[in-house]
Amino acid sequence: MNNNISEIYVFIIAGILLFGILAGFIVSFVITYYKKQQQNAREKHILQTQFNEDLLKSTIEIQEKAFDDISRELHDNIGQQLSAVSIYLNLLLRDAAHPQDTRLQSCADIIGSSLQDLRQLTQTLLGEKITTTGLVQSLKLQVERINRLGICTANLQTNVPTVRLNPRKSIILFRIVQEAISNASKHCPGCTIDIGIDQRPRSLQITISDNGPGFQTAATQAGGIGLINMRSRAKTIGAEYRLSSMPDKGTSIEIVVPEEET
Amino acid sequence: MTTRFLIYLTLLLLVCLLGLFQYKRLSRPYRLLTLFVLVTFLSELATRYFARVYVNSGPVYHLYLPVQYFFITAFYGNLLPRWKTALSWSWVVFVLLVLVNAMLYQSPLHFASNIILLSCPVYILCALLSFRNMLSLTDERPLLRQELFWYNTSTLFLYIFTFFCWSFYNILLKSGNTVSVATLTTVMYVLGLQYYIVTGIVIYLDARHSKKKDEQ
Repeated sequence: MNNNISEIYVFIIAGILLFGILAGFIVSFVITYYKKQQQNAREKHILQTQFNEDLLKSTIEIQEKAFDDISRELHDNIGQQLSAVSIYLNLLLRDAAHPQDTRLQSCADIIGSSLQDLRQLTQTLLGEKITTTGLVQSLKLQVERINRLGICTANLQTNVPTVRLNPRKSIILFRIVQEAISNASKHCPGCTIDIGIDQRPRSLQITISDNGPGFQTAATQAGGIGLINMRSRAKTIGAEYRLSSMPDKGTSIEIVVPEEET
Repeated sequence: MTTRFLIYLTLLLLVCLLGLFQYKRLSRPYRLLTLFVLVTFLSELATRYFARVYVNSGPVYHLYLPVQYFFITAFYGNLLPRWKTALSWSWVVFVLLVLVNAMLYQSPLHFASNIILLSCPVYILCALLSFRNMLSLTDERPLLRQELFWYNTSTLFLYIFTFFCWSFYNILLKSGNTVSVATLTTVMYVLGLQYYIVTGIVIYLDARHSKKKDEQ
């Protein structure tokens, strides 16, 4: 009988020990698995972010290529044709029976003005031109063009004649300002757009503000393609992007490029 | 037929019906698992028949154990492609060992406990390999909602304790310790119940997962 009881004890103790070992194994597996899951989620997130950044870079590169192509096409094709028309008009004016005919002169003026607009447009579209001209100068040309078109009134204020930026960043910052101007002129024709370039000791700050109708940022932040584009472009160059707007209080966009990023 | 056995049979039938109702939705390994439960249910019925008519259910176990080995290793073979060939070859070896055991050690009229002791390490190894595989191929789903985690855990518990119990069982039978034998039988019964309850949950989880995947 004693032998039977001792055998039961051995069985129970061995069983409990075995159960403990198994339970310990399962618990350690669960912990390891959760750690692995978290690590995988982190790696996936990093890969996803990297992929989004690469996609964004490719999109921007494709857009720049398209802008370059359009710019060259405008310059080489329409520009040449307008130049030819301008030459013929000047010849007509010279040989006309009534050189004082204002209609011919008006045509020549319009063509001349169109050629000038076209040249400026091709300059703003051509990324290469923006880098050679420089960001500040390119923005000045852009402001002039906007004012000449008369859709809005644009002002540019800068505390430096030029800014030191790598070519890619210059183009991206220029495109952000272009997008902001385009948005302002689309949503509030006739408004005033103020562009500020502020070179600070440790950063470069660009502000684009208008006195348009404004909007609720919370409602629009996620949706507008233009706003998303600006934010994404700023992100690709490591710049800070801030948008502030209120109904009837206008809109202001602030881009801050840190020194190490300039 | 005892109440304990009736509960066991009812559980098997319920799990089997659950699997058969969800059969189309289940992935291949879990279809095998459903068929395994069906075979287990039928074999348990057969043991009662043999026990009543021939007063010996031993031959049923001699046939059932290789079938069980086939289903469990096929289940893991589907989940562990690297081990599929090795597990397939092990069927041949296992059948040969069953025959050798039946001819030399435990005749068809005796309970084939040697075969159980032989198969348990293979099932334990499969469950451990499957756990390792789970770590290398982590799923995004929470672990506690993953059918394989529950099945592996249940398999590990059942077969480690089955091996442990049968090792003791043979020793205790020889020494004539009937008290301990009864305790062991109860432990094995409870383990069997937990295994089939978890199998039912596992089949349900797999069906639900497949449904979600289809909806996506």
